[in-house]
Order: sequence, then C-alpha cells, then structure tokens
Amino acid sequence: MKLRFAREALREAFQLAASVAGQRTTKPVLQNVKVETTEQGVIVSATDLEVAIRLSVVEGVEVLEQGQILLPASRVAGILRESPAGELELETVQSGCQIKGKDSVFKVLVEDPEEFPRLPSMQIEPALRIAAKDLVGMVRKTAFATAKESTRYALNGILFVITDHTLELAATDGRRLAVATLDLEKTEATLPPAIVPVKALTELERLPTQEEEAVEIKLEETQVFFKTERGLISSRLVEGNFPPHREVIPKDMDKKVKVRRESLLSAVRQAALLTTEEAKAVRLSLSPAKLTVSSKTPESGEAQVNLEVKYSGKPLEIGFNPDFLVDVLRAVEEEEIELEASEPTRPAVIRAGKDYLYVVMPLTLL
Amino acid sequence: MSFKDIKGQKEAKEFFQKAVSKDRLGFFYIFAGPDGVGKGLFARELAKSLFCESGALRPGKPSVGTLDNCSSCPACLRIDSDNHPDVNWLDVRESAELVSVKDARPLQDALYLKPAEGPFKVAIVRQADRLSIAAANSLLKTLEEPPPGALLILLAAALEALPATVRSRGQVVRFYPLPRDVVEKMLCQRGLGEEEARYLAAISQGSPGRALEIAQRDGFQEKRNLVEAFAHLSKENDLKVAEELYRRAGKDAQNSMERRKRLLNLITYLLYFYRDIYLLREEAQGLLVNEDQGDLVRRLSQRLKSGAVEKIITILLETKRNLLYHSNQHLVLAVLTKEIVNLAVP
Ligand SMILES: [Zn+2]
Repeated sequence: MKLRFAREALREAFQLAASVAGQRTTKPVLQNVKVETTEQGVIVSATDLEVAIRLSVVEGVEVLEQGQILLPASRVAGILRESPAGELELETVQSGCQIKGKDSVFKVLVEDPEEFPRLPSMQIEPALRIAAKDLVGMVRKTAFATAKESTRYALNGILFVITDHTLELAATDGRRLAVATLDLEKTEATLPPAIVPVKALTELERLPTQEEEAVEIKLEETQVFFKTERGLISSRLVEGNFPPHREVIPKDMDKKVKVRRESLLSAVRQAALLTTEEAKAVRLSLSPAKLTVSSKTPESGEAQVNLEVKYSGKPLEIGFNPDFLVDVLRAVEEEEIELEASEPTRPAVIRAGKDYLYVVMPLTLL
Repeated sequence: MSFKDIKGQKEAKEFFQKAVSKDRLGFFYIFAGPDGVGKGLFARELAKSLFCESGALRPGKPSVGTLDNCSSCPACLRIDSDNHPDVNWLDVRESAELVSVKDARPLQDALYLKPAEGPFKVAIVRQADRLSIAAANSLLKTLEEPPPGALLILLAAALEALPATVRSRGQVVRFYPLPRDVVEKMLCQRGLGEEEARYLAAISQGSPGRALEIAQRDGFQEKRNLVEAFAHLSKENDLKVAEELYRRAGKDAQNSMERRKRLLNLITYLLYFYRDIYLLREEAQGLLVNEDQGDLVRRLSQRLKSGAVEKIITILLETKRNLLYHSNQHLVLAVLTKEIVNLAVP
C-alpha cells in the first residue's frame, strides 16, 4: 500500500479512530487503527469489540498503491500530531510501514491485518433517516439519566423504540426516566426495541457532520449502525429487558406550572449550595403565583430562592435531589419547561416541548 | 494446537462431547484441578469448537455437534491469538490481591453485550480461586438470567477456595494430573533434553505447565548446582552454601514473598535428592528422580550413616515450615546447612 496525503486530511479521522482503539488492553490487535484504500481514498477504522468506527477520507489523499495496513493507534496518532503541516507519504515496507515527511522518516512495526476483527460494511440499508442534530439532541437529553455501572445492564444503555411514525429514546437509572421522541415520516416497519450502549452514542456526537446532514440508522438483532456521509459507527446491543417505562409515567397530575428554565436552573443551583452529601435535597414549594426553592441542613444553614410563576392551584411541598433537576434543566434547550406533580410522595414530571418528558422520584423531606 | 493435542483429561473430554452432541451445553462450568494440567488449553479448545467455521467438522451449519475444531479457520485463529470478540479472558495479575469487582467488570460487560458474531459468548476466568467474594457474586449475578449463548468458565486449582455460592451454582469438571511418562514425552517434544525432561516430569506432579514453568527459569540447572553443593557440604563451607542459597533465591525476586517461594522450590529439589538417597539405601533400587546426578546419590547413600537421611528429610520439611513463618530466612538456611553437616560429616 502507498499513500500520499496532506497531514491535515488524515489527522482528524485517525485521531477519532484511535480514541476508540486500544480501550481493551487484553486484545493487543485492537490497539491498532486499520487503514485500507478504496477507489477514491481511504477508510480509517478501529474497534474495541463493542463499538466500531469507520471513517472515509477522500479529499487530500492520493492512493498510489492499493492495500490495507494496521497502524499502532497511539504511535501513529502521535506522528500525525507532531509532524509539521504538509505532505506525508505512507508506504508498506518489509515488516512494517514507512511514514515520510519533508524532513522526517518513521519506520513503524505493524501487525498482520488478517488478525483484525471483522468490520461492518460502509454500505447499510437504513431503516430510517433523520437529521444528525436531532439524534444528537435526543441522546444528550436522555444519556444523563442512564445508570452508570449497574448490574442491571439494560439500565446502562439507551432504549431505542422505532415505530412506523416515531423514534423514541428512553433512559432510566431506576430513580428517574428521560424520554425523547421524534416524529418520523412513515418508516418501513416497526422494529423490536433495542438497548444501545451509551459509548456508541457519545462517539456519534463526535462524528464530523455538515450542517443539516442526515444520519441513517439500521437495527439488527444484535447490532445497531449509524451512518453519516463520511462515517459509520456500529455497536453491539445490550442484552436484557428494559423496564416497561411507559407504565412509570404518571397521569392525572393536578398541579401544573410553567417555569422559565434558566430561572429554575439557577434557583436549584443556588439552593443546592447549602446542601451536604448526606442531606442532598432541595424543597420546591408551590403556592399561588410563587415557586420557592429552598434547602436546610443543620450543618450549613438555609437557602431560599423565590420565583414568580403563574399558578393558582393547590399548594404543594415536594423534595428532590438537586442533581436530578440540574441534569435535566441543563440538557434541554427550551426556554420554558412545565413542572407537573400531584402528591409529595409521587413522581413528578418535567416536560420540555411536546417531544420530551422526564419523570423524577421525589425525596422524603424531613 | 487442537483438541486431540490435549493430553489426558478423558473425563472432561467425554463430558463435553456428550453435552455438545446432545446440544445440552450449560452456561456455567468450573474447571477444577492442579495448575498446569491443561484447564486453560481445554477451555480455549472448547471455545474454538463452538466457533469453528470449518464445514468439514460441521456439515450443515453452525449447529453444535462436534467437540473438535480445525485450528486453521479465521475463528479458530482469532481465538488462538486472543482476538475473537466473543471469547474473553480474565487474567489475574501475579502477586495482586484478590480480583475485585472492578477487575472482573470488563468480562461481565462482554457477557452482557449481544454477541458480536455469535451464537456464543465465552468468558473464562483464570485462577478463579483468587476472585474476591464480591467479584464472584457480581459474576454470578450476571448469570441469574443468563444472556442467551453465554458460557462462563472458571478455572480453579483449589475448588474449596471458591465461595460456596459459586461452587453450588456451577457444574464442576475435574482435571487430573497426567502420568509421568506423558509429561516427559511432552517436555521432550518441547525441545527439552532427555535428562531435564525426566527430572521435571518426576517433580512436577503430573503438571506439564508447572514443569515448563520450572524449565523456563532454568530450574534444572539450578537444581544441579544445588545438589552438587549439598553433596559437598562440609564444616568449612556450610555457611557459604547457605548464603549462596539465600542470595540465589533473592536474585530478580520482586519482594520477600517471591524470595520465599523460590526458597521453598529449592528446598523441594533437596527433598527429592535426599529421597533418592533414602530409596537407594532402603530398597537398593527404584527409579531415581535425580538420575542425571546418580553418581552423587550413590556416593552419598554409601557414606551417610543409617538414620541420618531420615533426619535430614525431617529437617528439610521443618525448614519449609520455618521459611513460611520466620522472617529471618537467612538464619533458617544457616541452621539448615549446619544441621545437615552435623549429620552427614561426623
Ligand atoms: Zn476452525
């Protein structure tokens, strides 16, 4: 294999692939990035056996001789990072690979590409196509609610439910639930729900996309694929069953109030300043025209922030873990959110727009 | 390497042959048996048999039916080189504390993802007797609702060291020491000299893995030097021999634990040497373990007074115990050589 390329052309893709490579040290071959030539350019790939990433690079790359090679991820990423901008030449030589710049030459020992795991095809038959920024937004609004390192593995991922007219993403750690939906133009068919590891979805956010670019999604029994114009991410799905989250969403909420998101976020943050790790709770007191966010601990004192709201229903006092409120208020972008509750002991709901809802368990206030 | 190259372990082979041909493979096995008799090799070959793509072995398609593999298809090759996505190993670091939940985590993660290529996902824990109770329970939790195709194999030398909850859940498959001649032949095939192979086969208690480990650190030569030194032990040099013994065991040792382990190994060499002398005296025949230094054995067996050999063997066994409990290893060795000299050189 022989390539001539502008350093900048390959650096970003290589770095992205290198960040996926090598996370599992028990399988040495995974610490490599695979580079293979195509008709127009090269494809740069890496996998940690959970997530695979493939990026096609066309511009700035000239293929002088077809072939494929495994390059040690961190070393070659370093070479691309440290080399001065300009043209580089990469060539397979006996027992390795030579990377030549204007004034530099590196000979890197490489492993046999046959040892590398199989990679998904860059061509997929998508089940649906949505705007990349919509998907990234939905992930951002749900990922924070996943469990971290639960032995109920299903809770560590995000549930994808595709019906003939909506895409729904749901995440829960057992104490809160985030659900983002998106209306679709009619899709092919209803697919069985799939639990996608968060890791794949955070990589997705890093894929280079153009404004307004679409991402194609394909679901298989054991894997999911996300494809953009230049990149492909695949991930193995998580085993197990997601809890029946629709049943958790409370209905018949008699207390509803609209609040400016920024104001509530700021109020919760301020009230949280005087909470402690042992007593991490803020109190929301709703009364006509007023919402008060407060906290009180014997060790550090009291805090109280008042917000003006349009409310004329019955008063309510309800406690929350401030982190659970801050997370959601930071993740959504709407100017105004709606807070719904019924009893101090029953879950409350935060809605942001018609496509997003968040259920959160209250804390018992002392 | 392939199944037929696994020596012995007939029981394990038949057990899995039956399970596989009846399509009744379980999801949790404990391979119990001494270190170095092939538990890891067996687990690897079993995994290869499940994934092997060779049509010759499996006419039809990936229905599991044969406990064999081709060792040459891409699946087999990648399992051999530890690069198969659905076959994961948990290796325990040497001299580490017990395996924590965090250490076991990647293996669990792999079990809880859907298979990459399927239809199985195999997770193998080496030295599972070093799992902490929390880590073992966490692994068991994964198996409460075993993910489809999951197969967890724990390899353990001491079954009793596993938490009772684990022992009771897994199907135990026993692995046994191999006959001495089989080990000897294997060692010769690995390129060891005849004398060395015979000696290591004799002292490794049916464990080719252990024998190879000794060979790797040049244990045979070490033993020869040791026997030579003890055969020529005298009132003039006994302290020097003790010091040399102590120094040698400490060379390249990372810590005092490792030094102690090596000292215990050296004492074992000596035990075999004096055992040979004893056998020769009492029975005037029998297979000498130290045949390669038979002259020394014979010479000493004639020279030593009746009763002295038994006493030396008792002293060596005591020395082993003392090395375990005394912090001053050097002193223990000095006492040892002094006592042997008193018995051997009146
Ligand atoms: Zn095969």
